[in-house]
Amino acid sequence: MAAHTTKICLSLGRINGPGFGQYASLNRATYATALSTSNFTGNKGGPDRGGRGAFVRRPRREPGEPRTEKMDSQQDWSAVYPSAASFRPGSVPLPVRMGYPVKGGVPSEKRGNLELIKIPNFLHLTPAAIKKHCEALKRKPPCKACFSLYKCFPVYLLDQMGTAFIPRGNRLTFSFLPSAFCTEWPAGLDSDGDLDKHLPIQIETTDYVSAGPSVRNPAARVVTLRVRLSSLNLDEHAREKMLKLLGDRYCKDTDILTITTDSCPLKQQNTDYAMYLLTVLYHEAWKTEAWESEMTRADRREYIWEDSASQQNVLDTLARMATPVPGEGVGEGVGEGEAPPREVLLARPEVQQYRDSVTRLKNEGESEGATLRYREAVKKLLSL
Amino acid sequence: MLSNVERALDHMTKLNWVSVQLTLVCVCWPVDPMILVLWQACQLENHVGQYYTLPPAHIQTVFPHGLPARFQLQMKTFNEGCVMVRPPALEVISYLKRADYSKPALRFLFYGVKGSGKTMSLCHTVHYCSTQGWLVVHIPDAHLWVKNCKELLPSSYNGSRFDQPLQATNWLRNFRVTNEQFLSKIQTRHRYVWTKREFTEEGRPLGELVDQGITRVKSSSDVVGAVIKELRLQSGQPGGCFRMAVAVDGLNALWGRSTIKKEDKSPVSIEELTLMHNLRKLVKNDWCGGAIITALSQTGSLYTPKTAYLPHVLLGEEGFDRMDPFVPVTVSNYSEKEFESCYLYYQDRQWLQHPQSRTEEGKKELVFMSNRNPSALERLCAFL
Repeated sequence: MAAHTTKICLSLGRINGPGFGQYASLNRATYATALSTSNFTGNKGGPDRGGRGAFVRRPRREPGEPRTEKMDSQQDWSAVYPSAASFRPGSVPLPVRMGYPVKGGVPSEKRGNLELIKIPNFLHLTPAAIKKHCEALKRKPPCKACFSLYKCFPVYLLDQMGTAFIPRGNRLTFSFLPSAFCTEWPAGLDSDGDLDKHLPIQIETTDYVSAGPSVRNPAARVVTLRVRLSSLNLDEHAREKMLKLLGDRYCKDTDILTITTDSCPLKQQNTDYAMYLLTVLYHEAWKTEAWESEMTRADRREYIWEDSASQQNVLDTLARMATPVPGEGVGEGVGEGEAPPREVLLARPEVQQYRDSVTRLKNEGESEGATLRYREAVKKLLSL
Repeated sequence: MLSNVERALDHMTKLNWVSVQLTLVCVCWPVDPMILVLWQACQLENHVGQYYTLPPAHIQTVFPHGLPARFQLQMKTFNEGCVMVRPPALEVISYLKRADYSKPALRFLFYGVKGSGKTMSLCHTVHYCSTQGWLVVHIPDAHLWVKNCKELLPSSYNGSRFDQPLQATNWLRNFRVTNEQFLSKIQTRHRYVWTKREFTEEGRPLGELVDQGITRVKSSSDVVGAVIKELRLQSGQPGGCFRMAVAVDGLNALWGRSTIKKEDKSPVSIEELTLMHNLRKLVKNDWCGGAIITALSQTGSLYTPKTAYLPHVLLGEEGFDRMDPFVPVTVSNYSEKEFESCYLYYQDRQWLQHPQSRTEEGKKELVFMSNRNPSALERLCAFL
């Protein structure tokens, strides 16, 4: 608009040709007036931009009144703070002050107060909100998952929930109150025997719950698989090979094989890996490799008395002692002074006792008791 | 013999020996031949805890190299050698009395914790055998033959083995001292060629063989082998004039490791030593007419843990299989009765000089400090 006015003034100056000197000062005054009548908008674009940059800012709105003014005292507070959030002065209708006062002053108000924002608050955990949480947990759930809770919720939640979880052995069963995280125990699985018959594989996992910004816990990926070897279909060779492959993972007293996996980052992956290991072990145990025929006595897992040096020694000694026991079924081919045949010797009770004592000594390791048993057996054998 | 025993018993009552229940030490000094006869005839269970004196003449002949070092010091101090009668030795002696010597040789093994009296029990049994007129082959400590060997010669008989001339000569000398009376009676059954010019014909007395080994040091290991072979062949034969007692202390050296090194610093295995090779043949029970009495020893053994004392642990798999079947005899610490006896003996010999040691509390302290271990007690009392 200012430019437009300036152009008109210029054209007026040219028309009045002969009276140039008279109008010179008028023209100059026109220029000056034209400039001065326009609206002063300040330093538009800055001094270095000259007359080029015309930066137009968005018009600034005044902030409205805070929400606290419009809040009803009977409102649903859990809608204002449904989860953990930092302090918002415009959402909390309390005249809170915080901070160290200036001399002669008072602690600063809540508006723009960093101290209030920094500290943790429990505005999301009012009694009303907690009651709502408990109601939600007590409700019958839509999901079918069934898992064990380890580090449970904070204490007050447990009280609200009551004793819904009763551990029975490695598994959790639920006595009453179908709760938010468990399904009903299947009917028909009453005793441990039934469980072992129908569900021989047990998978144990642990979930961790803690207060903090993240729900992830790396320890939750550990998976333990337990199965009884008697529930697997293994023959003699397969069982021996399986036991050699398992090593420490097998407990002889309870006949339980335990596989613990934690090499994958996710629990699902670890359970799959554990099942894969079980499958591979089973199939490998049934296979017979060519080099297994080269197995020596030292390779065997347990000491076997048959065909051992000990058996040979005993047979030699008894043969040289050469007194057939009356009542023994000695064959016709054996003469008076000759030693009874091998089978007859081996069938004698003292030889059997000796065999048991040596086998126990070698397999279970030596102890005073084992040595004494061995001694008694030898004394009987040599008829001392 | 019976009348001798009767006279001895009569003599004993005259001396007013109190019975074992009152735990008075029956020390028979000055050396009374009656008591010796009594001892020979009735080493019964009710003599447990009592001491008997070894006649000096016997000590020189039977034990030129057998007794433990500390016991030898004690003998020098007390001017007598008194051995306590203990159940392990009595047990073995009772078996020896009842054994049938036409059957393969019986094998006994003394085992027990360190310092419990295995070597002393062995010596006791050896003394019994020698008083009964047996030929005693006593190897005082097999560990001495597998360590600290100054001279190691390659064997002339078998190129892969090594001779130990010094040890062999030493042993032959002691063997000659012990079994003087048999050396002229036993004849060789084979011809032995030592060098181009030296040989021993058949039918020569054993003494000649032994002398050959002592004078010609280079061939002494082979002489030991020859002596062992002859004795094994001839003992228990119908026309044989002797019974053989093989006593080996530190039996676990035969199947352990050695610290002897060849010139190229590689270790020598036990099998490569002539002496040990022959000793292994000796302790096999393929000969009859005698007994093999052995004792384990952890103290001088190489590469065995300090706390090991059970037979299978110290002998190892191979050793156990070779010695099988044997009668393990446990030698434990002193019982209360035996401890009393030992304590009174020391007191009697004025060995306990400390005034506190003669009180009841002092005795309790000794019990506690030594845990009734014979060697510990002996070392403790040496300070008092």
